[in-house]
Amino acid sequence: MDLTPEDKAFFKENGYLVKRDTLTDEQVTAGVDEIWKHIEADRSDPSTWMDAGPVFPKCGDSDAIMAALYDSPVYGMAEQLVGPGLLSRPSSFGPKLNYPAKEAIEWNPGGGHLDGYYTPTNGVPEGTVGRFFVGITLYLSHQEPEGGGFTVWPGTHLQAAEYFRKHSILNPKGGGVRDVFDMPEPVEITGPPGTVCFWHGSTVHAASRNCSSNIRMCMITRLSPHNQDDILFEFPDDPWTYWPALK
Amino acid sequence: MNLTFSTTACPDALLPEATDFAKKAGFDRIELFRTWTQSSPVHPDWSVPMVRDHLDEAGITLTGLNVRNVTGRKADSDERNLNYNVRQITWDLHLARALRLRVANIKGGARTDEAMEDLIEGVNTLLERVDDVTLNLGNHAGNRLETLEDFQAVLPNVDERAQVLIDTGHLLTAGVDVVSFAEGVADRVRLVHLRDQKAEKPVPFGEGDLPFEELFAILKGANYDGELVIEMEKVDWGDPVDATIQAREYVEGLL
Repeated sequence: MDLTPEDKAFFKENGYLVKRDTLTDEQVTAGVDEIWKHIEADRSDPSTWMDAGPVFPKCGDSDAIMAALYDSPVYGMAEQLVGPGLLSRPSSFGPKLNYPAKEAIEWNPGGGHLDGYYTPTNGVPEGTVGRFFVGITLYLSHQEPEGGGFTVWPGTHLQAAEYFRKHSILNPKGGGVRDVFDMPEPVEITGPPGTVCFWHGSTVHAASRNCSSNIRMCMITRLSPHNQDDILFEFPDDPWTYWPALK
Repeated sequence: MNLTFSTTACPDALLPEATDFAKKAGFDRIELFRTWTQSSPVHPDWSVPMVRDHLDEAGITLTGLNVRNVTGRKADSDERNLNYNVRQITWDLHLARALRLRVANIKGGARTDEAMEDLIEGVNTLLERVDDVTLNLGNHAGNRLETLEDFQAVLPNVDERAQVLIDTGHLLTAGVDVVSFAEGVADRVRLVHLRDQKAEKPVPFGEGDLPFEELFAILKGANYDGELVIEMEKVDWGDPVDATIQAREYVEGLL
């Protein structure tokens, strides 16, 4: 599944790209079945899905889940955004579930943030930032609007490129940038199983509130270039300097 | 041996002020701190490329970066977690590399057996993970690396890319004999921080307890050709720039 010049242009401008029909029905079923082995709820009783857990089922390295990344066009499309052979090959494709809420809630896009920043609970060491190039969010569930979908703030990757040319990469506490960036209207990613969102590592994003009665099932991974350590602090004038496929 | 300016003389100065200070005091080489000083290369208003560009424009060569210590503990909870601490310092080492350095200065944690174990394992892990840097292990009063005996316990157990930073101010503060210490580590010395003191109090170079001539003789005997970093900390006897000029001229007169 090749990305078109229009796809690449969209990604460059908006910092994300949505593609559909990336998984076979069998791959979707296998992935959903695998995840359900780890959910603390009754699959046949949606009333037990409310506020269930865990958010991060520990099956990201299972065959069924990894097949969705590597035995599908997904990883290859991510490579097409940067260049063949330039990105890390994760050994896990971590599911992240967004459960429906017991209480009626009003939809909101969630707390937009940049990934890789320290908080007291997220495991990132204090005083460090973990950058990456491409995030992948792949749905196994059918995502209707306001169903807790992955949400992006288009164009914020370019604001980040400009901001970090003149400020410390450590600046945004916890990855929060609302006081730093001019935040555009967010876009909630929706679509059937097999819908994938590729997002730039500096695109502000969040998991939105789930106002539906379904569990948002997706896997997320973050791909870094092999020379990440050498360019960790670099924000060149041309933000695509290290993305030969998009130059 | 080259003389380098330490931003200990002006901890509250932003990088441009610190480089101005260095130039006024007659230096064209500078050493920075990851934490503690306002001239840190991760100051909120400075990107690393800005730091590089500023140093180039100022005609100042960066000779070293003091990074976070191998404490073996999390900074925010003091829980023992060497891997977390090593990840922090690995990041600092890549910061040093981004500043075109291939060396960083580092110290240890608390004076416990546990911290000694973590220091040795941590240093070896860091050198394995970042294979194009060397580390200068510095002595510090009250630190796991304080005495000659501490270094004698560590050095045989760490990779040869771990070298020694002699910090005279902290030797004097800890009451460690400077000459014996220097003789004991002479074959692995790769950096010297010079500060003269009367007991724990910094004083003008030549007026304190630091045996400059004996120290320099030991360094010359070991064919030391690295930096002598002039540390002017807590100058309360005059203008800091003038005091730094006096210190530089004093050392130059002995070389």
